[in-house]
Amino acid sequence: MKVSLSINQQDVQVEVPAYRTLIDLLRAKGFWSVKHGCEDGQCGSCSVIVDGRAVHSCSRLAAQVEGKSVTTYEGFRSDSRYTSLKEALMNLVDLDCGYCIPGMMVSIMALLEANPEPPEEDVKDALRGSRCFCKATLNDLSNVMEAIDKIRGKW
Amino acid sequence: MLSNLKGYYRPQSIPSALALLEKNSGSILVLAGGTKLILNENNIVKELVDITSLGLDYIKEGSGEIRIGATTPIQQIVENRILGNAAGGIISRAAHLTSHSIMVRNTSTVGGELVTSGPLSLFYCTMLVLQAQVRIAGGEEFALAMNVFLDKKGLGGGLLIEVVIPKLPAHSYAAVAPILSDMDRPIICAAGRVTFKKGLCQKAKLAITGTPRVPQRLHRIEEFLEGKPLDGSSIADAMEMAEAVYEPISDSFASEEYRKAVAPSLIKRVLYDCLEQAQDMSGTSE
Repeated sequence: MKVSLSINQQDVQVEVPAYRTLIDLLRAKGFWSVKHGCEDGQCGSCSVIVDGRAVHSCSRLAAQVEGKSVTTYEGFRSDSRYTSLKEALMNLVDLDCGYCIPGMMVSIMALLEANPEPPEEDVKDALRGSRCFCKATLNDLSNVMEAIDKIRGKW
Repeated sequence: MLSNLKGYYRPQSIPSALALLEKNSGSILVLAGGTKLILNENNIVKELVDITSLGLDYIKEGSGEIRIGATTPIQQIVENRILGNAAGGIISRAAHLTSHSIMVRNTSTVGGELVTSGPLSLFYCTMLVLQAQVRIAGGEEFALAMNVFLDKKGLGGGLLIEVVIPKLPAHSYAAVAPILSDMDRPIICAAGRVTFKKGLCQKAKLAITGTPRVPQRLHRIEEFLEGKPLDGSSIADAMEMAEAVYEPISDSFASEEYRKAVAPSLIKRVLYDCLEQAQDMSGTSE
């Protein structure tokens, strides 16, 4: 079946079998930041933004994003404003491998898109769906909140 | 993974969706969010009917009820101001507790949450005490009480189109009391609502999760409380009854013994929460 969508603001038309998941479509297109993780909708490694909302791409068929706008981590990776956020997340999880970082970045970016000044509770809620496979638990969020302030030019 | 999936339909009207479901019964399923369907290995499903283009994504407030369309994402319920203020906020809270992950709540839908309800379904439990109904389209539209809809095992070829939640009567208060696992998953939860009149409990509705198949109402405790003052003594009696009437299941999250041991405390928390809300609003003397 044919699916038309936008990936990182580029219009794309693809021919996919009905059973193809969004994660497999994106990785086949070279968006390697979208990672296979638990394959159970629990870890957030496969997170992408669909029409402004963070979702798991492992639990969504490619056919479900017909006509929608998909943003992966590659969509804002080169934006220097987010460097501080990436660094803060790397500190947050006391980085060993970095596998979970793109998914966490995507979760927070979706949050910031909806609310540029989120309270810490909302940031926690956004990150609750992401799991760091190295350390499992997230530490103090103050670095992330500082990074969000930096993005807003308030720090 | 749906390895035998061959067909994917995106009808633009309810009659078209029903026609597809009728014509291809047996190997065809309805798809809204798909969070539970797509992750499971399933070789039987050959076709899907995506109902997200049917205009069933809405939250509408009427004079006596709130209507939630079947394809409304759960996270919209969490964020919706009308629902945040309705029934003591328990609809939003129950929606939030359906999953620890905002990514799941952004995808899962009200209809999907209800039709896949199981023993631990906190959202269904909450809908039970609020006496919600579901509207089904199938030839003609009809409404079913929440418990009837699941007790009858399915929709009979119909399509769940919306959930209708009656607004609480005056001087009514509602609460939920969950116990969460380390992944914020509710392993047991009680929900309740109490209507006060002249200082007495006029009506009580209580339900609890962890029962076989789906959450159940606690009718004997409800009947016991009605007409009595809600105080330390009646709540203690309700707790004793909860221990006697609750017949929980064991699963990978908790044992039957654990659930039976904590159920009275959850009933107590729900009833005290309703009582405190009433006292805050000076409602018990009405």
